[in-house]
Amino acid sequence: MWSKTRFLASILAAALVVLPASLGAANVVLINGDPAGQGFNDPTPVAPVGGNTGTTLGAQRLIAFQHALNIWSAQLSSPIDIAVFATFEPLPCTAGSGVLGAAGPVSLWRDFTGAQFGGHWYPDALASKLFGADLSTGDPDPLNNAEIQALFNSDLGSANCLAGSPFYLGLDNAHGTAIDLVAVVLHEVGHGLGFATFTDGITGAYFGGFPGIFDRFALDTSTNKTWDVMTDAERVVSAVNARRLVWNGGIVSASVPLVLQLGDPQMNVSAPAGVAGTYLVGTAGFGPPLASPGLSGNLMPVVDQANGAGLACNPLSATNALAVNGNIAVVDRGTCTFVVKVKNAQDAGARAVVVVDNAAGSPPPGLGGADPTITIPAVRITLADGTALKNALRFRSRTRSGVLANLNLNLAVRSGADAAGRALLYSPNPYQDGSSISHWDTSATPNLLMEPAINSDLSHVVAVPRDLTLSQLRDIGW
Amino acid sequence: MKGETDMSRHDSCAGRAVSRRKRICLLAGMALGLGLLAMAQEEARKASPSAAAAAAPAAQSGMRAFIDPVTKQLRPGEIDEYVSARRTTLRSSFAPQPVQLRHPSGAAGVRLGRTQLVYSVATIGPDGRLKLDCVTGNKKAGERVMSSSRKGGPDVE
Repeated sequence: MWSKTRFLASILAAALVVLPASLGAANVVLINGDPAGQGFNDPTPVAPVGGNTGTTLGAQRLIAFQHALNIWSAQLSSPIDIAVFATFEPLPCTAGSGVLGAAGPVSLWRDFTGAQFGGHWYPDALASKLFGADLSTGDPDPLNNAEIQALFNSDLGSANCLAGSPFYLGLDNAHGTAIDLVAVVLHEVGHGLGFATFTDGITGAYFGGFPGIFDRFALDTSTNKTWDVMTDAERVVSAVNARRLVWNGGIVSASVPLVLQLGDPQMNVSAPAGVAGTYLVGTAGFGPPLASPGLSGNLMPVVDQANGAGLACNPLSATNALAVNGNIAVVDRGTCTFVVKVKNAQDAGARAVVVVDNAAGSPPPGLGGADPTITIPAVRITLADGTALKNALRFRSRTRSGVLANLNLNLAVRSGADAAGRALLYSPNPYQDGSSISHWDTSATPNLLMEPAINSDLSHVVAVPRDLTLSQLRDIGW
Repeated sequence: MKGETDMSRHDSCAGRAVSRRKRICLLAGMALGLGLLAMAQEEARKASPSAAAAAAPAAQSGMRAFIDPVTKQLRPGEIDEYVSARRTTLRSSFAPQPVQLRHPSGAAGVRLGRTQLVYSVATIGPDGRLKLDCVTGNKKAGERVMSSSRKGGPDVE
């Protein structure tokens, strides 16, 4: 229940995010970089779709792309046009995997008049806005004059390029199993506008010897240092400090209560003392979500391998069924899908399932898959946590272990934020080049536009109360 | 685009029946023009006089030649081939090492290449569902595509 003070603070936060845009929208324009007959100029006839009235493939690409740029235009303000030099061209792709697209600033600038922080790189579009004039102009090549470069895969959906998964060019987000181009463009242009670090997370080294403006707000809550004051070695450690790297901007923090849902998924182990504590979990895309006060029970392992592992890829044996019946089954990742394991445990009477990862790393990813017949909750825990718990599970009877766990939502914490209400940045261990740091953490609920995995349930909204991206851009100077 | 207009003026030359010597001269002239154009682009007034900036244009310009696969002889390039070559040249000029910039106001800048672009990569998992994630740099994006094709995505098992 919100207090009056908190309510008023939330209104103020919303105003901080909304008002600047209403003072004058930016003009985010598409520079078509494709030659005649290709990409944006493809003359292949197509039927209008989802509000996209284009009658050729090229025209529909143009319309969808500009629609995404218009969404950004309406939310940003700038005295100069923000040019996005874009092309549709063949990009690396196979039948099973492919590049959808890419984007980023054409140039970076630092130490310009109007920069709030000297000695920090700013993406071209933001730098020019703050400078009050286009910093990149006068070059005979229109690409070099643009603020953002974007390229997208013209082969997507063809026979040898993720066949059956083309870009959906409608404007209504009714993409089904296709890939929504508008959402992908929104995400990629978000990077170009400034949702990105340019610092190397593997070596910790600054790009060109200077931090980026993004680094100013990336705070490690273990050291209480932002990335722009750390040493290279400190940044290397911080880059893999799972769920301890947060965005320290005031506008985002004020926006978190408006966007992120209360309830951080977790597993609490209350006994025995040696393993008692709170464990990170990855939630399942199937079965019921975790709730509060949560589901409690004895952890009981499935053992169906000679090495003591429990894969649960087949209906459980009588011994294993006796063990998990009425309890929380512990199984190991591997060999078969998660839904198969959970269904087998459910059929044996388990009330929930904990899947122990078989690869080192943190935080534990979610469990993918789909099975509408699964009615029990399931989570994943890290290999390290699973090893510790299994050690405690050695001392068990046939039906009880004494290792008491509760799978629940922590309603004191918002999903995707830390206990202090700061939005989490994605900092898994091991480091994921291209995904780490420059995205929101995947624990955020609802899914956010700038998560590393572009989720199928994304909207075309970049601002509160649906998304935090605009708030982040405001923090860096937009 | 500016370059495409330039190429269109050569269309009539490429289309006529001309001698082999004239074709070679035309090709050399076109290629030299492309090289000069690339060099001019990089000599923007904002460019710093650093050695890196000065070296980049020379490495990125280049002559183009087109070989008939049957006769193995030089042949005129098609318009699309010149446009494609220009795009490749421009992309290449955008892809290598970053270029230092200096604005007249004193601001320092750097023009990035594709190594700093954030790529979205899609992979079909074992359950047939698409998994989307981000990778930095064109090289790593290509590597991710190839490695994902072999592994098939791990998120459902």
